[in-house]
Amino acid sequence: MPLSQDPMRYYRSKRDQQRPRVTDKYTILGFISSGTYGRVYKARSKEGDGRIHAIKKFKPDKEGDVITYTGISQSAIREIALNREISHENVVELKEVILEDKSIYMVFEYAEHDFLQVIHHHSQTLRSSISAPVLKSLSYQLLNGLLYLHDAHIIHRDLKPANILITSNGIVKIGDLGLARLTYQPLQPLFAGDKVVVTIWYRAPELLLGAKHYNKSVDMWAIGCVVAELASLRPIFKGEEAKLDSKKNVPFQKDQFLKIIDILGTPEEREWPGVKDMPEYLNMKRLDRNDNKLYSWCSKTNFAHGHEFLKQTFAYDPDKRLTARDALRHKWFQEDPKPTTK
Amino acid sequence: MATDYWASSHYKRWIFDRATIKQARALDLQYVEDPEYIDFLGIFFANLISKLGKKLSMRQRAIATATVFFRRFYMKNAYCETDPFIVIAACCYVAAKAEEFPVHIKNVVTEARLLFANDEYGIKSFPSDNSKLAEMEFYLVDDLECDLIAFHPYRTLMTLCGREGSSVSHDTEAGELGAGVQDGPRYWGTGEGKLELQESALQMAWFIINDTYRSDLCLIYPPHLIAIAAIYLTLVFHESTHESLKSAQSWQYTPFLALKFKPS
Ligand SMILES: Nc1ncnc2c1ncn2[C@@H]1O[C@H](COP(=O)(O)OP(=O)(O)O)[C@@H](O)[C@H]1O
Ligand SMILES: [Mg+2]
Repeated sequence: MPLSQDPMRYYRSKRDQQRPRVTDKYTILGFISSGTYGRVYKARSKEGDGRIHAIKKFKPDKEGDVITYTGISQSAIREIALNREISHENVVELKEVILEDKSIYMVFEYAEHDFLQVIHHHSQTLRSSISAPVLKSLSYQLLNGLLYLHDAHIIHRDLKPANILITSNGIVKIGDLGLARLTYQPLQPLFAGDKVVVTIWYRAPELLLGAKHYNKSVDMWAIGCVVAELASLRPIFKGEEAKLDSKKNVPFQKDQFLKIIDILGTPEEREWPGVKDMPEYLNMKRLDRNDNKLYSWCSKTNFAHGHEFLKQTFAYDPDKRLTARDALRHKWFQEDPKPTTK
Repeated sequence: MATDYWASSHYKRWIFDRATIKQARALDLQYVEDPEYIDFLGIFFANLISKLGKKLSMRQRAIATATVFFRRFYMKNAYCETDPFIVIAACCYVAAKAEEFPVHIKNVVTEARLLFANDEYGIKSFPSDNSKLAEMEFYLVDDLECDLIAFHPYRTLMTLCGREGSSVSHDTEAGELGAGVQDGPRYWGTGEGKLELQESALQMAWFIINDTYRSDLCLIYPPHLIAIAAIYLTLVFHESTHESLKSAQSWQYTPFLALKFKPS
């Protein structure tokens, strides 16, 4: 192509020469996971102390067999933009971003395990529950990271065991900001951007009922689910997801809602006045009524000490749900058995 | 971050002194007779971003973010070695995403081609292929060092004037007006002591802020300072606000009178 046709050619070749390549800086050691947006690799830095990193490579877009530029996904833009601004011990740290050959590589500090693996390890290998002090420590650190995000006006919107990491020293790190959003003065309401947020088992009732407005408290519901899962080693509300219909309408997630009211009982207007304004309210009314059985769920899980805490994170009314700040001050963390470091 | 300017990438990596900004134009200066032409180019491109942004129904804040991206890009590059038109389109495309109000790449290409090809600009070479714009986006994000969240004076203006709805008392900006200071009594963000500007004066302050993006101010000063300066200018230029200040007994007005500003 003649220069007059592509005046940016000179610029690009200059940049291409300056830009370090991933393989100049890192030795790829192996493959960790493959997700919706791409793959995660384990890699060793070639510089300095040879530290281990996790490199998340966003899937490049393809047209047929040829990789082309089709525009960076909203999810990648979010994850990159938010990670560049934040820094906290309990949030996975982004070391650098390398843009190379139409692909984006995000280099993160390495965390040995995620919560999913910890849960699996206890249920399958050790066949014993996570001890109360460790469980409290994990929960506390998780809340500490979440408070940081919330104070920075970030809603995570995809908290679940696979997105919560833990280092070999037992430090909890919140990861995967691919669905996270700044909530400070949004130009359009949050629901307008993403029709579906939060993996179904961890999705708050107001989202299941089609709320058009929601806030940080959706993360606290997910935290409740994660803490319960750490206690019982299985998802507390394990519903079947109803698929989007052909017009991409989001159906009422009946089974998921049933799983919730199975344990927490049917939401009452007196505890959640806003419930009657929810778009799916009538669908919910049609479900069989149920009483709250959270205490007996906790007892049989050997988790009676966590009942008060769970009850408050599982408040149906988002405005009454425990906040991250209040959760950190909850007496559960002060009572015996006290949290330890792992 | 979203609340803490002093911890932001904006403050840490993208505030420069005038000498550095001048240095960034060194190559371009070789091609102009008068250095002022470079400033005119800055105005010209800012106007163009604003026009394209409006065609794409982008909100003012997203347009401002696009302009900030453009200026940051040219802190590392020269006009004469690049094609500012495709850079402009890419800035709008990325800013819309960064501000969570995305526009489709196809729309950006179509609107950019239409706008740039009209008689005023006569640029007929803008690529019709989406992938060219996406390619530019890729390089742009790299040159922006992936710092895609920018702070703007609009926020301070609205916060000071108590126009941020009910969130004001809880969500005051840290790093702006002493928010983030947790101890002791405070008046900021309480709704008390808020600045009362007439609707039209507020509008004027808003427009003054819009105009600041035609210069390098967003690379030099923190946004809250720009907001304060815009409010100050409004107090001077806005007729009826100016009059009411003059007549207010309790107001120590002498310094203002001494300045004798006149709207041009
Ligand atoms: N920093 C990290 N260190 C170690 N493993 C990681 C790290 N980040 C992600 N992983 C692993 O990769 C998986 C997918 O990463 P994630 O960021 O959640 O991407 P996705 O958007 O594909 O879900 C995680 O569940 C975790 O097991
Ligand atoms: Mg994930």
